[in-house]
Amino acid sequence: MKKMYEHTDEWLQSPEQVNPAHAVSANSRIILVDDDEDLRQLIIHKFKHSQLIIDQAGSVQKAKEMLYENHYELILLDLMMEPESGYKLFEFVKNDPKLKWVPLIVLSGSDDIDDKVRCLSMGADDYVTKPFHYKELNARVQRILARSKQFEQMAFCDALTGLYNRRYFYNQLVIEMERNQRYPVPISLALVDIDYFKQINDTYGHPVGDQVLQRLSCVLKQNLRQSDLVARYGGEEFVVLLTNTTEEQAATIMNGVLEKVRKVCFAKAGTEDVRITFSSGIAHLSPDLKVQEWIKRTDSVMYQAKEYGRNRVMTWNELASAIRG
Amino acid sequence: MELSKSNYTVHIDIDLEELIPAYLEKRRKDIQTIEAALGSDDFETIRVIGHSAKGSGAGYGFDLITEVGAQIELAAKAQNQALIRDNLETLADFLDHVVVIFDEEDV
Ligand SMILES: [Mg+2]
Repeated sequence: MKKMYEHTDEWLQSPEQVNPAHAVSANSRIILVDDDEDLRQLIIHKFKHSQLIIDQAGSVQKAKEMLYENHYELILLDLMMEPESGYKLFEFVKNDPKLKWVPLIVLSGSDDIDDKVRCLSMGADDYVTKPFHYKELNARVQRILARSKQFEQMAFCDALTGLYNRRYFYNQLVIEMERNQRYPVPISLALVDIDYFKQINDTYGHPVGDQVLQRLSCVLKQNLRQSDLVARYGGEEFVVLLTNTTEEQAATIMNGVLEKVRKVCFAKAGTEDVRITFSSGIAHLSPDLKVQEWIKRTDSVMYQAKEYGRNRVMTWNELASAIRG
Repeated sequence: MELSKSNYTVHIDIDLEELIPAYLEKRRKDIQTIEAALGSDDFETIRVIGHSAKGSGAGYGFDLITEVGAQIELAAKAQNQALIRDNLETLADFLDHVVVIFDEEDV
């Protein structure tokens, strides 16, 4: 039995450093949907000194486009709009698998009890009557944002690494695939599996293994692009979704990460540097591929990378041409 | 609605200073739009304008604009020309005489 090595502070990576929920808390992005320009201006002006980023839409149509283009953490929705009513957008949001979870505050000129009840039963998180005081609106916005962040963190983050978890990743994958049907762009999936991870645990003990996982999470976050979605898929396996990226581009990126990983000391075990490599398989989304098939395909490429000797990045195209000879 | 002299003075947070002139100017345009709409019995246009003014007025600091807006919205729903004209007069009078004092924000 090998002895357990002391952790040095250097390697005690705080999960916060890679925590996605933490990272966005400073600049929450919200969308304000109201057909009255004066009201939009007022709200944007009032929130100017807050940490919030507020995008505005003057119509239901415009709001729909923006909701597809960007990720919002809160929707402020006016009910009475021309030509399409705010209820139209409300229904649209609540019927969309991605958008239905976004917190929504109704801004309404109507003090009517039936409107309030209808909105709350449709899933509004709050109902604010116009005219409103900025302080009150701000308090309600902040409360809902804080709540949903806590919830998101508990439900969607991996406790050890602070990365998104498998559940969150799967949801996002489905959403991205739906978006891709409407707006097709190259999109690639990469699975990353640490080579001989079991040996690290067996040799140095689980605490060192945990440090390696945390450190790799940091390296992944730091060497991937803002737009890449990275999650802990399970055990020593990570997954990356690279939008607007072909397999070949994804391979270049993942090779860059692997290059970095080879140079990094992942933990200190006494005087010994713990170093790792990984194997990665990449597959792009081809038309009509189902989500499970896509993951399975990526997994099979990753498996081949292991078979070919580990410490490498392989793509589906590469594999296919190798098989063709 | 009669306005006493003191009602023409409105205190508004200094952070809104740059928005106020344009906001008041738009309300003057509202009056013209409503007058034109009255000529063609276009109560829907009047209702929407009243509704918007109701929603934004007090937020900017003009409680009277919210009140008048609410009245105009109701009057338009009831297609009550006289009541709409009454409120337009109140609004016009207010816009002609309003004095805005910008206050440092309360903490
Ligand atoms: Mg409206």
